[in-house]
Amino acid sequence: MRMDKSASEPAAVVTGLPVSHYTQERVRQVQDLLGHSDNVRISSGEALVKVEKIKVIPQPFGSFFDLILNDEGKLKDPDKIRERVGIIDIGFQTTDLALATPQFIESSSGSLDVGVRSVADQLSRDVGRKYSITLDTTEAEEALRHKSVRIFGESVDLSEMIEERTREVAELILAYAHSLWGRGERLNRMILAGGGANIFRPYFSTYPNLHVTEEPSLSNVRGYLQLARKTKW
Amino acid sequence: MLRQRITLSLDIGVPSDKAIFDFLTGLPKRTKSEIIKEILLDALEKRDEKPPPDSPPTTITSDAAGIDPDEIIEKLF
Repeated sequence: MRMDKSASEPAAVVTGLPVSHYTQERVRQVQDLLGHSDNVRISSGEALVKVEKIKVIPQPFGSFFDLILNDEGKLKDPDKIRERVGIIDIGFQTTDLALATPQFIESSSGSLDVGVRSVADQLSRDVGRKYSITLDTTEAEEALRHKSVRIFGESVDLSEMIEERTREVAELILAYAHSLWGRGERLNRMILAGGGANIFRPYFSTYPNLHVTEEPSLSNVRGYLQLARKTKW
Repeated sequence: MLRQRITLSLDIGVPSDKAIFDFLTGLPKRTKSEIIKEILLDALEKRDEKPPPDSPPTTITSDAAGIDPDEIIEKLF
């Protein structure tokens, strides 16, 4: 969630819901929840903020707006507004897929219960079996980042193990993407976003129109802010 | 075909449980593919079950040619 105003001013909020939770009822719940909150923690402390306007969008659309809007919230290329864009947002627990035309096409969007955690958990099991040590989720995640783990002070290379487990999850995401969008030949652009984007990126190289933003873990929230700036509240 | 989901709790400190655990984790790739397929089908089913009227409506129709691009974005959500 990003605030578009500073403290003690009427504020507008843009935030997102996972695709599988994006229903009218949930949107209303989020609006009610945020509309009633007065004390909000901001970077410089706590402040009284009256949230008057709220937009709730499907989470991956943050990355879509990050692609098409600049920092001031202006369209980068108005001629491309009607392009079909597939967004794959790989998070820690789940992966969201959404199609923007730019409308949200719900029938070509969905969520999968896999993400970075699926790889970390499986890695933890593999390491436990092979080296008889237990890694909790945080340690497994760290091992995933460094592609190694320290055992008796020695660094043990886990690249091969990680490659296999990452590929398994990537294949699942790719299969789901295929069920939604075919080979992607009708998509003008495919965005890979979320905290898992860099880990899974090599497996999506078959898409010639793949776009991975800088710091993909932040692209959703950047897009929320840009949409907030774009909107005439 | 009706599919059923089961959850197994195994204590790998117990030899019989460990044997089951080793068997399940040692299953060949083809079986893993089946499991992957099941997760996939679940996701597709969930999508199909979601009643369309409950989803927030989009306000722009597909024949939006001619509408100002900024307006399209404004009216999306």
